[in-house]
Amino acid sequence: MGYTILIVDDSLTARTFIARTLQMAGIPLNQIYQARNGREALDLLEREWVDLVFADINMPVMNGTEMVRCMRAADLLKSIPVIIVSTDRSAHRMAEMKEAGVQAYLTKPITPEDLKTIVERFLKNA
Amino acid sequence: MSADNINTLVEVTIEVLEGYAFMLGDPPKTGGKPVVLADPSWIVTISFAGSRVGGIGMVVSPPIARQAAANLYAREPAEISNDQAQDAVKELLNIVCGHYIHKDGANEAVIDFGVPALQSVAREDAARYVNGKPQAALVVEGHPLLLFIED
Repeated sequence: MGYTILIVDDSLTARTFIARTLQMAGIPLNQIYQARNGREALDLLEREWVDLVFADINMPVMNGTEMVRCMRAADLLKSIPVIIVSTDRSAHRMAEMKEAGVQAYLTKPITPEDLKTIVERFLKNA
Repeated sequence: MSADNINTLVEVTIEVLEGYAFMLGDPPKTGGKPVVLADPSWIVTISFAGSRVGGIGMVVSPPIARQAAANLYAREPAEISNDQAQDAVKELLNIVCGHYIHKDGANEAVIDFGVPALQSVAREDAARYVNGKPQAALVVEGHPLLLFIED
């Protein structure tokens, strides 16, 4: 038994790096889904249940902020924790994302320790 | 100011290359002469706007990009496609840009980042592109990497 996780980033490199880092952290994984933007992520979430979402902010088609707002407005999705993984370290952006409803904010590059701490904090009862 | 900025860009690029892509960057030992760029070269740029406006970029050789991608994907360079190598170097510049903007704890800066762009050009065209821009060279795994700032 493991966690089902969705990684949302327009960069294949970033998605692959996060997936690999989750595996390196020794987190039990059932399935890792990937999406290239917020729209693709919402489409996937209509079909699949996930325990946790890692998302970038700056993406084409639908950015991370819009995606989180859509998730928080949807009854079936509003309880899914969202962790932002971004290059933007500004206090302004972190406050904006917290207000939108994200659970945590990590800045790139992330480490296995960062991910393990976050996953354990939000999923230990999942 | 430009000298400070290019020094900051060099510093954060070395940090990101080492910490994220597991690659070492050093100043070139060319005795002050310009580095010879690869042919073709990839020019990667990213812009930003807000409380700071401008952009940064790098001219890289495809082998550096392929090695960076191999390290990030945990594969051999020969297994890396051009698309993966280009995506990796764009993501590297994206991370460098975040560190560059927020260097020295400048986390009050409110910035909108653009999407990294890449073009493959001949060596002469790469040299023309960066001509007159604040720039500095590194040698990464034996290959030249030229950093520059766009205002």
